[in-house]
Amino acid sequence: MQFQRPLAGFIAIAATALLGVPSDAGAAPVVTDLSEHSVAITANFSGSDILLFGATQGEQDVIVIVQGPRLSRTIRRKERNVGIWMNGQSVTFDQVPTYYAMAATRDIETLLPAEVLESFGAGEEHLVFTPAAGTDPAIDTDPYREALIRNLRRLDLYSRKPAKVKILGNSLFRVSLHFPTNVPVGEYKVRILLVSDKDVVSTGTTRLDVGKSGIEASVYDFAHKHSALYGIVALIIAVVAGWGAAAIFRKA
Amino acid sequence: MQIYLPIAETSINIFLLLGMGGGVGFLSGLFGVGGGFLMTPLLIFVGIPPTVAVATEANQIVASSVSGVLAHWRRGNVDFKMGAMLLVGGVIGSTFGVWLFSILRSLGHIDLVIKLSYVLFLGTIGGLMFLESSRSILRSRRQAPPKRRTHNWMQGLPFKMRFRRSRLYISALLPIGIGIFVGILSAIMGVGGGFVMVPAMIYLLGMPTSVVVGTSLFQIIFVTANATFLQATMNQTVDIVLALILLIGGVIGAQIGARFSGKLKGEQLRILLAIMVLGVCVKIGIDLVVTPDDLFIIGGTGGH
Repeated sequence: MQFQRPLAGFIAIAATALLGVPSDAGAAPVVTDLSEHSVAITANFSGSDILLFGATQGEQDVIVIVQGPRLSRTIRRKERNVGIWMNGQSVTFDQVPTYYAMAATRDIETLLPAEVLESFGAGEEHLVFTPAAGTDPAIDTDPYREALIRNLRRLDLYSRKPAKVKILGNSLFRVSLHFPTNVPVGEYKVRILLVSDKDVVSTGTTRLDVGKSGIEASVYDFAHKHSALYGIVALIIAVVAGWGAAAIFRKA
Repeated sequence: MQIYLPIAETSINIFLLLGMGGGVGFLSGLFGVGGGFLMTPLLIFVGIPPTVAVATEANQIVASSVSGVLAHWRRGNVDFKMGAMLLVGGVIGSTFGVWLFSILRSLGHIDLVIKLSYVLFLGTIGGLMFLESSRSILRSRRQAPPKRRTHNWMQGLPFKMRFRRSRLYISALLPIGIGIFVGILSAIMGVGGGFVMVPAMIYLLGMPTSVVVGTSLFQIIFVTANATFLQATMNQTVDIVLALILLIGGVIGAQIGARFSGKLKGEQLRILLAIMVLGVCVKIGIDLVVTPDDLFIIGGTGGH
């Protein structure tokens, strides 16, 4: 049922792609659409898959990059002291994407030269993380940067899937984008790069909102906007539940 | 069946949470410990952020303690006078403990201090309880009458009070002192403190085991209620949805546990609690020493 509405869009794009492929590929923007333009986090949210589809302009490869809201992140190194592991040096990076997923038709290293990948921020290793102001310049931040990426990958928040984008015929592409349960809320940017002859010939961008909805949103807002009242409600619930259980068990 | 938790911001199996709540609630009713020292590490283990785990756990302990206290109260096993004295100390201690916590955090080693205090206190108390209760089990096999402990220096303290339910005539300074000490620990370790208070009441004050459990739960209600409110207002880390699921399992478990506690002998109860306390101690101790898979960890997010 999820794909019913966007199916019309998909057919429309398919029609454009089949009928009028622009001959001058370089200038035309990429035509794409998403099956949903928002991820609604509700009580039974268990991750979400969104379909991205669009038209290529002839025989091209496709790279899709999804980037979540940016926040500062701290990564700590553990050090052993008297046999015990404790927190040692830490580095905070500003403006780290909380979510980063890259999918492509093939291995991106074979599609584009490293400097082009770097300029488009394609692949986690090409993301620029700036250490926060006040970071000791004597610290070599590279191992911290790598460790941060490694940890985010383990949390399923960073991913790269080289052969995930499927080409249909020779002018349509589609990819299913996965958002795990721990997906951070905020505004997401989806970038689409069309690649031909080791060069990016066309780019497109689309937006996606990830947000809590329904009861989940109400509880979150209540906790943050009226926190004293929220605390009292939490206590009342606890006391009533404890009392209720004792009363029920007494009768039983 | 997965459920998304609005404050923890992750989704988790609802039956796993109900089972954890029920299991820990059962132990809470059985031993008179809040169960925080088991539940908090469990929640973190299944993927709840530590700050949310600690705060929500406090809220859940309120519910299971209320349920447990009522069950013990009907059997006349709550010494309210003793509980009030412990509470006076608890308020003083936890206020000081919160202050100590913020100092330790600014020094940067709060995680380590928390883990080391778990190992130290769980190890000492679990070990002592294990030795004592196994000795008294052996004694009771030989049909010797149980000996009530008396500490001479304690009899010399001023402000003596009669605690009828506990059948004690001791200085009010003793329960207040225990309350202060447990209050400090509960603020630093994020637990109700029952696992420290129960043995202290038995071995230091000489209270009968049957009264200790209900009285300890009575004091824990107020200490954890205070913690829940502070966490909700200061950090917004109390997850009502998570707490609700845990306490549904928890209150039922606590009722069943309280029934079982009447059927087991004091020594048997104590030796079981000792084994469990030692188990958690060993687990945390091993984690401190074993080389982690990744030497780097993400240490929380910065400004939003």
